[in-house]
Amino acid sequence: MEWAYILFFAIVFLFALLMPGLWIAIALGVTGILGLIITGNINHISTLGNISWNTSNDFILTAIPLFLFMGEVILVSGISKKFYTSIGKWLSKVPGGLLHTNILATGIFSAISGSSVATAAGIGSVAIPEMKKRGYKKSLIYGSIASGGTLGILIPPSIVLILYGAMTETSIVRLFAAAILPGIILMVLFLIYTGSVMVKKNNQVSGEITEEITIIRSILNVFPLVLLIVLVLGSLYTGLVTPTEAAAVGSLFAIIICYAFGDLNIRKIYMATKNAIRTTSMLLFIMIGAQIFSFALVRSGVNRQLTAWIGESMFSPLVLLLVICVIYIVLGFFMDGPSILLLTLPLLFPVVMEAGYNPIWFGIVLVILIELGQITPPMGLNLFVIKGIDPSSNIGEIVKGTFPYCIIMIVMLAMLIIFPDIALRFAESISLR
Amino acid sequence: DESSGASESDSGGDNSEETFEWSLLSFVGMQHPMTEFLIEFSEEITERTNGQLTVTTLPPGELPYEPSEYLRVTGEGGVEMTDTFLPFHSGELNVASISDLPFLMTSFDELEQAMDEVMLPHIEDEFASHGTKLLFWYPWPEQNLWGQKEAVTEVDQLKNLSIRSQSPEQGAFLEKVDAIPVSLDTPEVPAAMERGVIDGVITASLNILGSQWHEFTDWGYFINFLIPPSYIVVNEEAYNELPENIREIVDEVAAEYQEKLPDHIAQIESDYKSTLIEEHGIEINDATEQQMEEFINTFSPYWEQWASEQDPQVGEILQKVRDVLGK
Amino acid sequence: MIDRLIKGILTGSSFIASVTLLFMMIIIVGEIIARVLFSHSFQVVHELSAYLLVAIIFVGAAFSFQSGSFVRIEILREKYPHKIKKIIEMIFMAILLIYLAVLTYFISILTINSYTLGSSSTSVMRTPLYLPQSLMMFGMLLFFVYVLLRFFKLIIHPGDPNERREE
Ligand code: NA
Ligand code: NA
Repeated sequence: MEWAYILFFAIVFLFALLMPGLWIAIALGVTGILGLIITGNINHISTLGNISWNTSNDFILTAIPLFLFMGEVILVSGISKKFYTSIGKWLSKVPGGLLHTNILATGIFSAISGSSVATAAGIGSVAIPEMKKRGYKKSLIYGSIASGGTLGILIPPSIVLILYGAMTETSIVRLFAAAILPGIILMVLFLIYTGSVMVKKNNQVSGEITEEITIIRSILNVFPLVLLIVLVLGSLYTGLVTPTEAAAVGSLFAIIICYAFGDLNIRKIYMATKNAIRTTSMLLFIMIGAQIFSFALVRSGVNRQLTAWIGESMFSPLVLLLVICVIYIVLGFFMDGPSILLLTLPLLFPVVMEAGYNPIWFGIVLVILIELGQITPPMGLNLFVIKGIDPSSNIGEIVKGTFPYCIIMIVMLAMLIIFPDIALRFAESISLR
Repeated sequence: DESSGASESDSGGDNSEETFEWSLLSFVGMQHPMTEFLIEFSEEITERTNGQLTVTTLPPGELPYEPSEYLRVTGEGGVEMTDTFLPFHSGELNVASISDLPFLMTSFDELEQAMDEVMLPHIEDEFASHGTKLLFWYPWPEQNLWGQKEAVTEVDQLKNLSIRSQSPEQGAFLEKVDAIPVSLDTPEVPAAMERGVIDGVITASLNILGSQWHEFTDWGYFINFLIPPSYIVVNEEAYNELPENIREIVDEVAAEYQEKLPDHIAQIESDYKSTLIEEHGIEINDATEQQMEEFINTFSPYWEQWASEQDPQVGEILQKVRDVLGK
Repeated sequence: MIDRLIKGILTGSSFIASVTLLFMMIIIVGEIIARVLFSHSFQVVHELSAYLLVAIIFVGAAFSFQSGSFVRIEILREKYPHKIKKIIEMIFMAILLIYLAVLTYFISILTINSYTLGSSSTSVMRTPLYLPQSLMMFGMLLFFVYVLLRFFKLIIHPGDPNERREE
């Protein structure tokens, strides 16, 4: 159980740096470097160069700054203000009001983007400022966007499912098919929660703006954003662009549409790029820090000892599954999803198959566990997206908002374990060539 | 100082009981047949040295290196052993990249002949100049064309098809046959194939099945575009540090794998091909001999042009390869 | 003097990164238009875009840090007495400086080795890797120098109210 000690001390040390307020990106990296030194792996420190390069030199990640930019353009041009004024009026009688638009919008956006960070970034930069103005409780706004964003890797297309499929030689088509129903159910559960929480008196919005606008006016207000979504979804699903390229197309369409229907100029575009860059650079420095941290764990043998321990423990299938869930939730506190997959899956997957689980179903379970990791502190990329978009927020508020959604995800996991058909029925009806 | 693994020796002078722990980086997933034999190879060494040298095979991504960095990382001692796939390193290796010329070697036999009779000593030198030692090499199955919708059986049908291109050679080929070379990141290939952003890819059967791309594939057109070798290399210092008896065992196991792999891989590839045809209903057509001849004729000027951009010595070696193969 | 340097770095950082982002968007859209309308692919856009992303991340880092985007946990920080807060801030800046120095050093080693070994990408472009890696190195140097200057200022004028901007 040497791995348990190393992991324990790494976590304690990380907390000792994080709690007094050291920047998360730096705390992760510093813990990793010290870990390399203490475990006698200082001779591998030059890998820091490779880590920095390989983490950032990735075309798939260009979607993050571009979707952020798209959102910022919509925001600075005033298109989003018009949109929310109209939608707010339509939804004024529905409990939960505008919060529902967050969940629905992230759900729709998920069908374009394969990444949960890109989804939260694209919707968050538009929604957060507008909803704050309308007096919604901040933790509720942050929670709905950060958690809704995680749908991006459950509702296809999904980069994480592609990675899982390639690593385990599991059908990507079937994985995508299997993810649709759980994705929709999770979205509906989010909507139900959002509706119920707004029934509580002190969560209700008192100062909702209810300008008198005509039906025609309100349709005109909603039109530009709907047009943008249709164009981006259309170019993706007709095969003109790939999910990552959709971010660039979306950005350009956003500039054109917002120039035509809103108030956009060069100065505002520059402002939008600057806001996109702030958040992107911060996120990538966190990812680099997290990679250094993982590298130290690999070099000290933690991942292999941990997975070997699971393999040798001869758990019953159900206990095995629960142990894996707990471990992924714990690792999800400190590591990003793809890293967890790369470090544990090659060794865990055969054990899980041995226990008789379906590989498609297990893929969906893992993606939900990874979604959960995106919104749990201290290392939750979606939390940091929110923090990046709204500098006045603090991690505590955001975490408070995402906590109920974490519980919902755990409920979703339980449902999948009890009723595997939620994922499998649809997947297995698909005929493969 | 990039010493390999833990030394648990307590005696000062005599190192014969010292133990060594090495990693071997694979560039395809743990379930992949190529990784399976790397694991066998590692276990064989561990067993025959009675654990004095333990080799662990690591899948790509466990360590933060890209497959294109493997040669360099091995030379620098970041890891002791890697499976260095030529197409990822053709920029760093000159003689070795002769095998990257399209249609020059179109079968395992031709590749082995070129290696044994001409190229191998030069390639060993090239690896040595990167601080690594070549243990053995094995052939990857030939790269072929794969696509969706109507099956392609001759070159004219490739016109205006969008095909994924990953290298200058593939790009040059696709342009010669009036196809549209499209660059695409690997994770985007499934979505791009499914939605028709691209019509096809160039790769081996192994990879079509291994990456689950058969789900979007209707046909294969076997043109034996090129046969990329992969090299198992070891950090030179780490190798030299081994006691002589251990080194001998490593060499011995390597020689055995060198001997048996080509047939073994040919068998796997043919199994995969049958699976694609029988279980996934993919229509596979081989290029006719006449078509192959045309490809070779169209591409020999490209070989010459490539040689003119290299050191004269590389050009001479290429000429010897052509003489040996009669091309 | 220090102030002018700091301001220069920040302006450069945000401006270069912004222009790079727009350029990245334009070339990706250009590739799509060429592919869809003219059945042509430049074959280099995806690779080039990834390099531009590297530039955005590292060149934009100083600006990102200055704007307070680097996330930290604030629960305890809010409760520190003023004096302790200043000391802790100093320690954190020192840790940051060391971390950036280490990272910059190994990024530079990577870049220099790419140059001496002649490493290139495996794509159609066969890009010499030291070129895009120099962008990373340049950005890290910029970030490092920026934090170094800030650290100097913190030592010289511990009470300077302008220093609290990043919160
Ligand atoms: Na998605
Ligand atoms: Na987390």
